[in-house]
Parts: sequence; structure tokens; C-alpha cells
Amino acid sequence: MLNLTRMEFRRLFKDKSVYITLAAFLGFILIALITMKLVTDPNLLAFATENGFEFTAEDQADAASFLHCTIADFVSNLLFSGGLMVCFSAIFCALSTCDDFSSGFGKNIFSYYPDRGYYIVSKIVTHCAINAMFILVLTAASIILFKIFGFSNPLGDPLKMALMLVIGWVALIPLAAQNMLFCMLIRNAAVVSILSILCGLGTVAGTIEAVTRLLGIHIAQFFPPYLVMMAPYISGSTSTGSFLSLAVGREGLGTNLFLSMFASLLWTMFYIWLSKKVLSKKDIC
Amino acid sequence: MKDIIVTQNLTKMYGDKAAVSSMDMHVKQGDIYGFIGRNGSGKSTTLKMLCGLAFPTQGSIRVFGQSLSQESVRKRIGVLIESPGLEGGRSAYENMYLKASLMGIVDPDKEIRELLTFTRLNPDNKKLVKRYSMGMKQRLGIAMALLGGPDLLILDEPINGLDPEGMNQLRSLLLDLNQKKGVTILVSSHILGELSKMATRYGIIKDGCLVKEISKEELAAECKDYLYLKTSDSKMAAVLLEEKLGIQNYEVRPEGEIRIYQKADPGDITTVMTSAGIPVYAIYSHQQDLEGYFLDLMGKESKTGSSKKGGRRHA
Repeated sequence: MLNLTRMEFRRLFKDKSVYITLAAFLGFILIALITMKLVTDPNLLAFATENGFEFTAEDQADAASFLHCTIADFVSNLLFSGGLMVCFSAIFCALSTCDDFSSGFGKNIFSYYPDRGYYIVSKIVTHCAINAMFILVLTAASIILFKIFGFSNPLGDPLKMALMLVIGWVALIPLAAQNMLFCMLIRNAAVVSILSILCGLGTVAGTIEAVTRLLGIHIAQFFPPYLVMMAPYISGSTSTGSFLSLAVGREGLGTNLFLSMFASLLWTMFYIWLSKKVLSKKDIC
Repeated sequence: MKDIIVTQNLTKMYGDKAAVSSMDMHVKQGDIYGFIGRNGSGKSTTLKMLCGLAFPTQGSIRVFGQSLSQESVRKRIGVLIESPGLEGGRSAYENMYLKASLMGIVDPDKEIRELLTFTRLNPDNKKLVKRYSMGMKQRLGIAMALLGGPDLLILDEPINGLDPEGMNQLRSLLLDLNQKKGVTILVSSHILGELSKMATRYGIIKDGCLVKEISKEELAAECKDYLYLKTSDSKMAAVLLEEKLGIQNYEVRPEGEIRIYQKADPGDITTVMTSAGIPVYAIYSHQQDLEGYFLDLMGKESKTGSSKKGGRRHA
């Protein structure tokens, strides 16, 4: 299995599309910070207004709240509650995995390895590594760009921030495993992406939570998207816009971190087992 | 020679349709086993099952005397099934390198360069595989199948897309691998003429049933030489053949054709026919080849209704 994982690492980390996506995300952060700089700097604001730019009251309010947030808030909202990592992970997993079946490259793998669980695990490990790379690079880039643009926002508690990043990354593991299950079932990148994003952002967990909440039970914490949503709270951020957070509400955050992480571990194992079962029942081509 | 591949009652159902039905296949060590059948007869499905890419609905497969679920067995098999499994966005070298790393080959550079050069591909060419011609992709697929020096090669239509030079080279390569390195080869192809130049044993499949397994020597003995006669009236010609020339071993076929399987003089036949007022359109001696044998067998099987589900036929 090590050989297979090594091959997957080589394949994905030497894939140009990974770096193009990363560059696009960095560009997105850059544009967001340039906009904020324009709105928050009086000289630049005057210059921009003179040159035909229009800024609404909403922009001004956003800029005001931006000035009061920590860099940790910015990063947590961008990566986790903003859904960037969930969407990236879902789309990337769908494209890279479904492509193994559509291009036929999977034939090389499955004719060589009889245990199809190896494939599932090596894919998840690789995607987790890619997620870690994105989280670290985007966090580092955010910190650097804040300094470059001269924003005086504090970093926030470094320990809490580190914990938030780790929890956020861990939370993506069961989602990666879930994405794999969808890939094994459907093998169509577009459908898998949509399904993974919907489930990853907590649509299913949120709906179940909304129903069980009426009975006084907060079940969402046992679903993987809950941890993603919780990650910003760990760093002290209070803003989150996911569907799951709407269903859970502030009081729903039981913050039983260990229970949620344990549930995530169980989900990961369940998804791996189920993915292997599905792959072992279906022909490769 | 011991059996390298043995299938027993191998069956693959898609819904209620049997793609492969109760197949008992035997590929012996050192064979170049030509797997022949029409489109949709179940060749690729069988080969996919033999590579572990498709699961049998019923029956068993043993390769090198072991179950196909053993990793040690899979490591000894090189595979090219249908179109080569390639990453279009990478070069040929990079594709080979990925396959080598998944196989755990340490420092594969030398082997990759040798195989790419052998298959007439430039190892230093950075051109993306998606821009390759079909023949180039096929050659790369063959090079990938040869990585790691397999003991058994399973090739599904490897000649597809190759130019005559490529075909010739592939044939030389396969013969070389078989004769010098003892690699057993299971190869399917539509190009029977090409297959007959290298196969030592044949398996003929029809409608999912293996109708015959035959060695090259047995095939040579079964391929009948005959005298081909085409006249305006085959029924009358047949009467004349029997009465005037004493010919008993012949076959009347449609459209005025007669095949004479015993020794006969074409000159005498022409004289007898013309004197009886039956024009002779063609008369020549014919040696049956693999293609003719295959077509004959397919014709006979059609008449005897071999396409019934579950029918088991093998030599």
C-alpha cells in the first residue's frame, strides 16, 4: 500500500491543476484584501471614488467589521465556515478519483492490487495531505498579505489558531472518506462534486438536526460537517454562515470536542469500509 | 507443461444476459494463446476477469496455481485491456514512472527508457500523451504492460492502431519474450492472420462460450486443403463429380460453390463440366488458414445453435 500511496502523492503533487487551484485561491485572497484596503484607507477610498468606483454602505460595514477581526477569524471563516476547503476537497477528490475510472488509469492499479481497500486508503491519505498543504499555504499567505497591505489586525491566540487549523483539517478527513464513497458509487465527477459539497456543508446533518432539535436532541455533533463548522469557534470567531450552523444555532454547540472527533473517526472508518465494499462489488471497467 | 491459467465454469452475467458462460479455459506455461471471437463474443469480459478488473458471477479462476486474489499472483501479470490506461496530461515517461512507482520498482529509469525505446517512443519526449496518435498510445500501453518483467502477459487487441511496422515489431517482441524469457502470453485479436504468425494455441469463443481450444499443430491438421469449384449449377456438377470422376468427398455450398476435399485433377473436372454444358467460373486449389477455420467453425456453431445460454463447449 505504501507504493500505491507514494504513487498517488507523486501523481497529485506533480499535477499542475493543484497549483493552479492554489494560485487561484491566493488570487482570491489578494483581491479580497485589495478591496478591503481600498475601502478602509481614506486616501485610497477617495482616489477610488474619484476614479468611478462605487462603494455601498454594506461594503463600508464589511470593512468596519474586517478591521475588528483577527487574522485567525479571517482564515477560519475563509477556509472552514466559508466552505472553501469543503468545496475544494469535494471537487478535487471527485475529479482526481473519477478520472481514474474515465481515463482507465485505474486499470493499472486494480489489476495489480487485489485489495481494493488499499486504493481507498491511499486516496484519502493523499487528499488529506493536499488539504493540509492548502490550509498551511493559505494561512501563511493570509498572514503575510495582511502584513504587506499594512493591516494592523491582530493574529489572535496562536495556540487557538493552531488548534483551529488542526481541528479543521481533521474534520475534513471523514468528508474526504465520504467523497470517496460517492466516487465509488457514482463515478461521475460532476454529480459527486455536487453531492459532496451539499453533504460537506451540512445539508443532511442540518436537516436531521433541525428535526431532532424539536425533541431536544442535538445530533449534529455526531456528523462530520459539525467539526468543520466548529473550527472557527475554537479560534474565537463567532461568525459562520453554513446551513448546519443555522440549524444548530449557538446553543447547539455543545463543544464536546472529543465526542465529535471520536464520531469523525468512526465515520471515517465506516466510509472506508463502505467504499471498499462498493468497490469490491463493482467492476472497474 | 503445467497450466498457468485455469478457469472452471467461469460465468459473467450482466442482468440476465450471459456475457461469458461456463467457460473452462486452459492456458499452458509457455503458450502464446490466441483468443479469438467476434465482436461482443465475450473476449474482453473474459480477459477483464482474468486480470481482476471484473468479478465473475460464477466459477473460479486460478493463475499460477493460485487464486487471483493473491497479490503475489497479480505481480506476475502484465495487462493491456481495451484502451491503454494512461494519464493524458502527462508524458509517456511520466506515465511509465507512475506505473513503476505503484509497482514499487526502485530506480526504474533504465527499464523505462529501454521499454519506451523498444516500443519506438522517445523517453525524452515531453509531448503529452493526450496528443499521441492511437498507435503511439497502444505502444505505450504495451510498454507499461511489460514493466517489471511479467511472467504472464494478458493483451486485449494489442495490434489495434498499430501500423504494419508496429505489428511486425510487436510480434517479434512477443515471440522474443515467449521464446527467450518463457513469458506466457494470452492475446486476443481480430487480425487472425497476424495472430496465426505467433500463437501456439487458440481458444475460440462464441456468444460467451469457449467452443474450442486447439493447438497450432491440431489446427494445421484440421485445416483442410481443398479444390474450389464454382459453376452455374452446383447440383448438376455434384452429380457429374460422383458419376464421371468418382469423387465422394466434397461439399456443396451456396452460390454454385463446391469444395472438393480429395485429390482431383482440375483439368479433368473442367473437361467433364464443359462437355456436359456446365460453365466453370472458377477452379483452384485452396489452403484453409486460421481465418477460414474460424469462419467455418462459427458457421457450424451457428447451425448447431451454439449460442444457447449455458452451453459448454471446449476441446
